[in-house]
Amino acid sequence: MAFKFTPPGDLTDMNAAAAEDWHNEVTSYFNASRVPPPISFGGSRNQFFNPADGISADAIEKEIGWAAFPRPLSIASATDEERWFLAEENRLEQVEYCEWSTTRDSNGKVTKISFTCEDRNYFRILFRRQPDVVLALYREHVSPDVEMSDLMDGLGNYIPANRWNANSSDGAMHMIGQPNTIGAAVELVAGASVVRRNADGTLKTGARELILCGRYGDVERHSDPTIGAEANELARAGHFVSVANPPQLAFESISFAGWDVPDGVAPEACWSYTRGSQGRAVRGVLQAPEGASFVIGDIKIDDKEIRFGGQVADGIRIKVTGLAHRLGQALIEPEDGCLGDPVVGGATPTPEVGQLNRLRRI
Amino acid sequence: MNEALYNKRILVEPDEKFAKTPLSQGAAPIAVAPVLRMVVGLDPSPTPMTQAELDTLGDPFACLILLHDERPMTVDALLDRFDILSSDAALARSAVPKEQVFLLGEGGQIPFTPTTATLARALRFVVARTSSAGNLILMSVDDQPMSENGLMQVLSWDPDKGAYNFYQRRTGTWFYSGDSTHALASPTRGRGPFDGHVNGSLVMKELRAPWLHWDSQAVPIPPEAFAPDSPILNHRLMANTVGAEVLETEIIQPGIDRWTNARFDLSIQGVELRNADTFLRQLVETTAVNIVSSDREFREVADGVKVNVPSEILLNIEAWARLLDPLTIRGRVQIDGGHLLQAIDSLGLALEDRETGFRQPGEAFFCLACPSPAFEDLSTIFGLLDHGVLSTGLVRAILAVDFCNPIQSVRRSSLLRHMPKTGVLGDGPGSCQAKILDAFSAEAAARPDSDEAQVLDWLGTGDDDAQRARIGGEIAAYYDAAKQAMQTQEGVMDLMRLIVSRRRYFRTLGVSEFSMTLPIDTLPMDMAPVMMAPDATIFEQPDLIG
Repeated sequence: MAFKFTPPGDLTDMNAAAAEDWHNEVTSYFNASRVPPPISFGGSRNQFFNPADGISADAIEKEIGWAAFPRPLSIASATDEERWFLAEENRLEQVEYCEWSTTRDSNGKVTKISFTCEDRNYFRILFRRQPDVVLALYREHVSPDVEMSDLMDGLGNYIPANRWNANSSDGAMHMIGQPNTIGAAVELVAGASVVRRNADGTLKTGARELILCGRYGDVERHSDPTIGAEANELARAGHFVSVANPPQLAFESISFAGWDVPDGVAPEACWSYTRGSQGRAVRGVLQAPEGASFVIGDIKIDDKEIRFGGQVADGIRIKVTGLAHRLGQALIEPEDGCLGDPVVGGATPTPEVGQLNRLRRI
Repeated sequence: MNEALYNKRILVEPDEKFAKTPLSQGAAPIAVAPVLRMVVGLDPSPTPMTQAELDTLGDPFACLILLHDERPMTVDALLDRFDILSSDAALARSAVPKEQVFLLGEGGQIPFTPTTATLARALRFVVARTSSAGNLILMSVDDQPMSENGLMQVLSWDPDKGAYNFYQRRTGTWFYSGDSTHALASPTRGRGPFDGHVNGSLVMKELRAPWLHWDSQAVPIPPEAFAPDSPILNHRLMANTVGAEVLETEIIQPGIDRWTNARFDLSIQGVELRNADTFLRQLVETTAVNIVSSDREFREVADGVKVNVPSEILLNIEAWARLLDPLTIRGRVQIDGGHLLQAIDSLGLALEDRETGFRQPGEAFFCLACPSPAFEDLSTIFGLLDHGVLSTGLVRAILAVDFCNPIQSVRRSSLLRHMPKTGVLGDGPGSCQAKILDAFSAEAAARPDSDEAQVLDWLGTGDDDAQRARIGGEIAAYYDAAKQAMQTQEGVMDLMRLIVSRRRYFRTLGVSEFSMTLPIDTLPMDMAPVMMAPDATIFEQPDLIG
């Protein structure tokens, strides 16, 4: 049965007009991702579907999770201290579908860390129909000092990376990093729905080999290869694959292993999900409980005081929910080449859906 | 599966008091198989445990299963009993309702094909059963969960003892193999399960990213690694596997710290630390190792492809991150893929399973896999600081001895003779700190060029800030030298010879159980071990320990 896409986290900010816009926006993601890239070995993407068109009764969902701390910084840094520092230095380095802002007191001690996995396009659409709601959200979650003029340009358009949402110290309302969008996650699943074969006849199964071959995301992140590998495993099983409704990035979990909170306070008492529904939270805040004698900077994780948001991000996992239906009914058409590989005869293939997978690698 | 190999190993953690509820009332007495005690080094042969002995076991596995006369002989049966008993209100304090399953295997990235069908992939699972209250049972099991044979080992935290209890099922019988304390002293140290769990703690060899051999967010172990008709593919164990990154951060690392803290609690009597030498040896010796590897997959390596060198190969990086100014060491040492390929070819590196004739030239799935400082040693070192046994300055100066060899350092090991068996906390008379400094002073007087003299010299460099800056400067210079040296083919060859040497050392350890854990080489069997020098060149050290 066909349906309308609902907002991430089951959020209720949107009126009917904005909700319709959101459905159309998300539909455009699925429609765009249904079309393979117009180069060789793009694959037919025949195993990717738009769930709004209808889901079979045998549908299954699969939660796909990964660590929130950006892997590119982890592999470039010699120490934890270095990677935490770098992640705080530049918000755009936070590329795992989770961004944060750290609030400090006049002594530099951490008092609050706000994490978000909300999509900028959700706010763009919401602002277009309900700017006052967006302003209210900023005032509630970021700062009461936010003014409407801070959020829009001279033409009245929403500015995603506005002064209250541009770095890791002045606030984080939603994600601003270029790859941190729901549309990108949909494209990952679509790209990974193409089954790919090695020269020896075995199928590609590794997270990195798949994404290097299918080029549907950034190989050096935690998130993109993980999403691709899980989606591809569903495709290899002969399922039709997609992203479950509501398409969203959400918090999967936070681990408090190794936490030492003053006064015997439970770490859970310092953490709250402030937007989104149960199991679909899209915003999390770390702050000492009201009346506490300590601040976040007094908490230790693995014997180290919290001085960076990245220390907390190390224990956070983000997720996207994969979807499969018509289980085992898909005709698997493995690609024998990787995206953009030269083809027999050297001809550039035409970008017709369903044709590319007939080309064979040299 | 090679049961003989598996029987050496085990894993796990929890805390809190566990309920020991009486047997169900009114039930007809049924003869149950005894639990046999076999603590290697103490027991000449397996001996049935008396009820009084069983009653001394306070961990959740004992409380839920053994003390209730339950003797499940398959993984399936045991997990079912955990499910049922964990929902019993009367057993709430021992409940372990949460199940997390982790998958690993040395051949986990090699697809199952007719030609690889007989390969010993060593695919196995670690099952963690936990509660929000901190109860934990860790099981190491093979891919035959319905079988009464094969690998089924259990490690379970006993809050009454403050130690892990070790169990295993063998030939239709449950064995109790000892507890963590047995790992620390003869005649049980290094024997039975403690040849792998050398300090009585949890073991996850590949503890850090990218968790070589584990199903993780770095690389999954796909269903294609199993035989297509393997019943495990549709088993509950496969349905809910969790990445190794979760095992590392949520179970193993906290579980190691838990045992470390319990050890200190058990050994500190008033202001005196007893058995101090068992802690201090973890400062100067390599009692255990973890395996690190590059984030770069071997199949991606080619000319011009940069390969990150794990910093742990070059330095005890996690220790220095705490002991030096935070950003003293920055960036990664990188090598060129072309240089690496040439070194691999020269050294004849390959993954090999001699039993089946399998040989795959090159590195393991991830490059540069190499033994490195173990987290369990690091946990103890930090425990020495946190419990006021030694000062940060002294720990820093001792670790600075031969700092470019974070494991297998003969020079640091030689300092063991100065480590006291007991001492009071702090730095006053009779303290461990004072005893060590006295011994170092005596040695320095006799041998002014000794490492002991060097330690005292570092400690004499002004205040703590000055000492930190001086040692930090030396280490940063070494790290920069390594960055430079490894831009050349010669430097990469040196690095790989060092790694080969450490891999050979690893194969001498009890924790080495599988032929494909690390690549083998074709250098002469009697090749001398090599060490790193402060200028980032290597030298041979024929008398190297291990």
